[in-house]
Amino acid sequence: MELFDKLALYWTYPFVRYALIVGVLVALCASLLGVTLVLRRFSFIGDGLSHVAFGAMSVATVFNLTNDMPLVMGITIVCAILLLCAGRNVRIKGDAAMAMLSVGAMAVGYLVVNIFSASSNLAGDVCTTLFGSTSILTLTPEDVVMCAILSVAVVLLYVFFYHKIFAVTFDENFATATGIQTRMYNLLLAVVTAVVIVMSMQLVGSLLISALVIFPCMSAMRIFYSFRAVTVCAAILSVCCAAAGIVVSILAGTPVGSTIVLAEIIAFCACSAFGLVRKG
Amino acid sequence: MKSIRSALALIVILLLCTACGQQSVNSAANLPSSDVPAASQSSPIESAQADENIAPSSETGSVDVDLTELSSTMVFAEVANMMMQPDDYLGKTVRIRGIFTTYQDPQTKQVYCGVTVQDATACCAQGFDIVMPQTARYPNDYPADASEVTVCGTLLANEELKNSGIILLRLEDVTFE
Repeated sequence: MELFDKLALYWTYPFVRYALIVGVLVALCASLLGVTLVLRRFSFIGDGLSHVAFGAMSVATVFNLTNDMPLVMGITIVCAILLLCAGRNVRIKGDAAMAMLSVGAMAVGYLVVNIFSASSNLAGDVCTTLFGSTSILTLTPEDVVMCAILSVAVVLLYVFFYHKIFAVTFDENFATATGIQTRMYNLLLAVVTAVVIVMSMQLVGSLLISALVIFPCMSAMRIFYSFRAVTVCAAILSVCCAAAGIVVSILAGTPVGSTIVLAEIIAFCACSAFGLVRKG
Repeated sequence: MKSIRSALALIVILLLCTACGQQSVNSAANLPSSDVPAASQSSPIESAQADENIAPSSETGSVDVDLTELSSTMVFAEVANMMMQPDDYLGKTVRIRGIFTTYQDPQTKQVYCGVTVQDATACCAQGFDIVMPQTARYPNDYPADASEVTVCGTLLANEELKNSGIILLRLEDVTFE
């Protein structure tokens, strides 16, 4: 009962409620996106774009921008478009381009922040951005509203364009041949990816974003084999793991991002075991 | 038969993954073994000022924000909220636990005290300025440097560095427990 009393106490803190709302919404969006990205072999784009966002955030910090979201979102969207919409006829292919952007942005961001920042706790600020230890618990009501609007937009986009996204994910050439505007859908996916990645940074930090994208999809694929079933299962798993991770972290005093990823690892192991038993 | 086996396997796996034990969660706040703080049983915030991020009042004394009841993650989140929205907390009675540090200016001999609260990963830390009681004499009446202390006081803003854009939080009328 002491545990439930503690949970009841924590629930009275507004920032805990905000964290759970945003955490669940972000996890849902990341899982929907993750199915498409994993199947298109873009699993690590989360890492790449989050590092770009870190670099953009560092520049915004140096310029003392009160609201860094427009700059961060803008730069991340541009990089997402460059990575996902580049096409086949490019000299630097997908994974190499992603790696170059990722480490380049990270290095430049950290350099800029070290040289120009007036923060009294630089290591702490960087650590919080990289690992998201408590940033999800420091949201304002405005942050929650913004996240809710973006999340609803992402989910609605996915619902309304489900069949087109399905076609573009599995066979882009066939989708083009049947008259689907694949360039437009690739552009849409790139923008949505960038938006979800920037939102996810608040939840798990830059370094752990790939877990939010990859694990739910891979866990669902241990059990189900159709695109729709994998998508629904990934969404449910992601939401449950995010909620469980946040609750456990505030009760046990562990970093939020790492606890969520641990919950997803456990879910993946459980789904893998269940999948093996079902096959055998 | 195969579906029954699959269902049983799923149930076993789910049971293995859930924490069904009686062991209580370890909290860095070291909740007292006796009284569960009344705040944990109370309904939502009763403060007349309706400041959004303030913890519910504890019935044990007149503490408005008791960080010692919270886990380390919650402590740092609350401290971060104090830094970002200090107006919601100024004038409140706050109880914190952290590392006590002192610094004596070699020229003026003025002694400055602070309590540092660290986050769960120990990579981030936030300090509170402490104004010791007038009757306390350094070093005999001060806690040992780098010792862990629990201190209760009124939260105020130290605006000495306001022109540099820095507002420090300080605790006055402090009592050590």
